[in-house]
Amino acid sequence: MAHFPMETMNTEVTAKPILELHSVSKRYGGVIALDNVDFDLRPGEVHGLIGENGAGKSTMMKLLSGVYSDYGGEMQLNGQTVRFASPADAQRQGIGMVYQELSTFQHLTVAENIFGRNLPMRGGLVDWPRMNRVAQTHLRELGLAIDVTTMMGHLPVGTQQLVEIARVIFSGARIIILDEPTSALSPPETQRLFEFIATLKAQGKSVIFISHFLEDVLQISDRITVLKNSQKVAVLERNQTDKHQLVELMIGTEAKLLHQVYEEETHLVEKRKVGEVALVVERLTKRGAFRDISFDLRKGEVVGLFGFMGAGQIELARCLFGAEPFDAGALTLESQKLKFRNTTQAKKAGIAYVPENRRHSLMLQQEIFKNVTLAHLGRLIPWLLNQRAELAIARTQMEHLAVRPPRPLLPVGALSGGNQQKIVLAKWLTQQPRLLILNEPTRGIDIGAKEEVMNIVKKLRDEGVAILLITTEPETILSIADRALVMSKGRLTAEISGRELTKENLMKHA
Amino acid sequence: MGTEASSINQGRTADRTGALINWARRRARDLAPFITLVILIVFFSVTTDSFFNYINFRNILGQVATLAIVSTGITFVILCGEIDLSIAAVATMTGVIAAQLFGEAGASQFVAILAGVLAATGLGLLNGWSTTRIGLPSFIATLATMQIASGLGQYITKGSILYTLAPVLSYLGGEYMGETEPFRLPVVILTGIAALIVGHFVLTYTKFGRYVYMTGSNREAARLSGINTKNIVTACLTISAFSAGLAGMLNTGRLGSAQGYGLDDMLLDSISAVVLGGTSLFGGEGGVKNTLIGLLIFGVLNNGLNQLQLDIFVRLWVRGVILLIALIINIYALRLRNVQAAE
Repeated sequence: MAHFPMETMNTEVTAKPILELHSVSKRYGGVIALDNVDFDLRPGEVHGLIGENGAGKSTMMKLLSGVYSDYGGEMQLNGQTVRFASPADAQRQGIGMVYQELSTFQHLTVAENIFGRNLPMRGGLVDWPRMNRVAQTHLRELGLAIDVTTMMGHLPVGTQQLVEIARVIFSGARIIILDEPTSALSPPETQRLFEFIATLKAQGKSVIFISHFLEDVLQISDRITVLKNSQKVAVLERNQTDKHQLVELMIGTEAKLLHQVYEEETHLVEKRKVGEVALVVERLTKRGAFRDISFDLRKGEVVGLFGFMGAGQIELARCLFGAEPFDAGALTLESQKLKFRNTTQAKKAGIAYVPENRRHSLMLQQEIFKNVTLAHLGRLIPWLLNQRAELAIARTQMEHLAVRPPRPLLPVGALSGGNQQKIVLAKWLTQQPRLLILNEPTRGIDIGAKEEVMNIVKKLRDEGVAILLITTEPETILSIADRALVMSKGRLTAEISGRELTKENLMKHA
Repeated sequence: MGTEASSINQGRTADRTGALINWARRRARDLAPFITLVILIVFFSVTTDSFFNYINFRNILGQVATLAIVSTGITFVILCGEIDLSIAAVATMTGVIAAQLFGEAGASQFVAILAGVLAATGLGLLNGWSTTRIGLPSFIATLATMQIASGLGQYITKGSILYTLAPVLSYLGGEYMGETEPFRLPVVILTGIAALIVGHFVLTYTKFGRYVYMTGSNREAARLSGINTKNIVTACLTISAFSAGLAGMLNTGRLGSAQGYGLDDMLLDSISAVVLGGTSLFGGEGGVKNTLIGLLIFGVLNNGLNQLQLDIFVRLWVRGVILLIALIINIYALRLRNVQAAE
């Protein structure tokens, strides 16, 4: 049974709020994720929601979409207090959620995607003509010229997203939550999305626009709510603020203090001598991932690569390690031209790669020592496998990196996250690499382990290894990088060094 | 997982019992099949008079000897997380090629055997190429090769049975060592044992063997550790076809003839033996040791059911039920171990 939305024309933006949160709080065990947050959304309003990673954006999103019902405070929908029992319940009451990772059915038509499970039936069979007619009318009313008989998978991602939004509206949504909707879109696709959002606004729908991209937020929102450390710090009218103020609000005054600390460190860094050029990347391009990336990397230097999720940095790293082919451009390592057909060649050229997910690097059920010796087994063990020799190598590495417990016969899966990460590093350090690519090396590990991992990185830097540090956390870059590159939507947007290397500048260019 | 302090504070004995339990859990994959084997042996020894004696055990070994060679090969494939459905057809084809060249075309036995080996290896490389370079699932790629090999075998023989076999094959497959009992051992048993030993050695003591396990354990992680997983998978599929070829030729020696059909059971039998032994169909765990136990379970089960003098039609489905039970036990043993890993 499908709902056929009735359009109530209401363009009055200052009307009574359609959705309100009153001092809402949410904890995960002992950790506060939302702390007394107030929020309101008006009919026909686009409300931007911004904040750093971990500021509480996704918790708030999950609360609004019915994923959590155990929160303190109150939610009001049309003036009525509500508490959604489930995402399905939230959907029934008019809240539509569109996630960053689209959950469309690639092998079904646009019409089938729009109807979802409630296909119109006739005599026990699917009534295709009616389904296509109704779906087409629905899209036309929303100003979308998309043929509903097209296979979803044949549409570009930006168009699929528009269909996905149309789908949640079709199932009755009056409030649409968009999570990072522009991160995978090209500039023209972003403009098309914004035009579509304007149409929705004109039809009285409300939109919550969650994004890291401040320019996009500034362009489309009527008001902007800023979250920081689980609290609401400001609600601003769009035309009374700018990017600079938003960044300040997001990272707060402590950023200034941090800035001073880092500045001192930066001075030290400037005194440190870096070696000759190790890696040169020239106009590297991979279609659909990144374009025209050029930079170089010196021996004994840590270069940070900052960007939000989906900026193309992971694909870039994989291309540098030969795990994926690139389309154009050139790679030179210590004046040797490189073109890898596979990861084995990259390894032999002296490149080590720590992927963003430990599961992509470790065999969790296998013993620690087998994981440690795996990458350079050919060089470490001359002829036949010899467990005693392997154990000795593993013990040396584990002692070096302070892996606890130091028992190389345990399966890696028995170690804590931080210690697992040390094993990933240990694997690559059995032979000194020329270039070390670190992808989120401190993600999901505790503070103590973070510091240990960073100390290992520093030591390698001092030994002359060229290090590319890829991360979505500005702090990681500030704490160690000599320079930083910023990627945004597949492009290199900035190179920052010295005093300019601040969190604010990183965020501004991402 | 306990903290360092608590593990130091624990008493020695408690530690040792705990370690034993942990060892048993970790080895559950290896222990469960072994226990199944012991139970079957005890059961058939008690229920029949003719089961528990030297001659019968020798028969059992003789019955699974050629199967051991194929199973060793497919153990490599299953360990790296793939499957090879072409082995029985490749075995048949290879036996026919060697017999045709030696008996009909008058080639030397060396040339005949070499041609058989090359044909089998070639099909294995084809399997590897279509799986890793083209990206076909090995299930489909080897299904096609199965058709090719089986078709070629029948094309060569055109329904006839070839009786002139290379003497080496007749000896290795069908002769006996030793003149008097109890030393009259079928040579084929030794051939099977040799294949198992070589397979075990390669998987346990060479770097290639380690790469096979790691590729099956987590292919992406192996690739991101700089291992050429495509080459590893190709090599495993080639080894499997090579072993199938050898088994096929020895089997002609054992039967005294070569024909274009009749080895169909070999495919399911060898996969059953590998899986019964506790090697994971998802790859990364198990090995030739497990395959050996699986082969013995298989041999004991077949032989024991014969000794029970059950109706042949009853025997078939009873065998199926017992195989299913053994597999269920394996899965439970594995869960037990995974619970421990999660702790």
